Amino acid sequence: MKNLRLKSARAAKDLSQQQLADIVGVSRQTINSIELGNYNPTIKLCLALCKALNKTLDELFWEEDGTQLQ
Amino acid sequence: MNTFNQILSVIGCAAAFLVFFLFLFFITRKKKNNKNAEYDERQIAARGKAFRAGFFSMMLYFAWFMVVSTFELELINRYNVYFIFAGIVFGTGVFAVIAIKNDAYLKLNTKVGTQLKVMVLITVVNIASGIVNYVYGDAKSGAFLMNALCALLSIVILAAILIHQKKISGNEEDAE
Repeated sequence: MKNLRLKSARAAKDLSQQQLADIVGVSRQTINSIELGNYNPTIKLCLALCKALNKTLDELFWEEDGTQLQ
Repeated sequence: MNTFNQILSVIGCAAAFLVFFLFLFFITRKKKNNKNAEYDERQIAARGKAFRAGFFSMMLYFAWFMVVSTFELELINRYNVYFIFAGIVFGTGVFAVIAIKNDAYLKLNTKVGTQLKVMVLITVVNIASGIVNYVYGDAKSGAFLMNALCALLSIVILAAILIHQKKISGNEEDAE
């Protein structure tokens, strides 16, 4: 399931995948995999992403029943 | 001649110690100076899957080898050690290719160019050693096969890194 919220939050901050990856200390492919829904990050990485993008966990990762993260 | 061999042995031991301490020096220096040169959580998970694939590939190879060995083929009997070594190389190759495919072979912030140069160096050294071994050594014993297998593994890893880099380069926001 694609995480379009993360992608839009990153775009709103005008950050590339590489820049966000450098901030949270992971590889660019990891950010790409999260956005594409190919990898489920740990809570530690989720929190790092939230801090980097000034968002809450709910805003980036909460999933309503039967809805996509968008 | 005996004295000459003894001198060669001493030089060989000294060279081995030098390489060992240089290796230790580079390992410890890297840990002190480059705290970010590690794998991230996705890479660790991907490496685990790649290791599992490599391990089971090696086990399958050895199962095949065990069956083939029962036929008492001359080729197998003559190059028994090299067939076993080939299994290790095969398992390592499977691990490396899968890890590279999932971008989990090289650590974060690793300079790909440097890594490629190291792989080229390993390949060239093994090919050169293999040729020297074949020409001046005992070609019938197949000692050069060890070098050939190492060179083959290096070439496979080198090719996998190059293909992966080509795939991701120039496509900063891939698959968006």
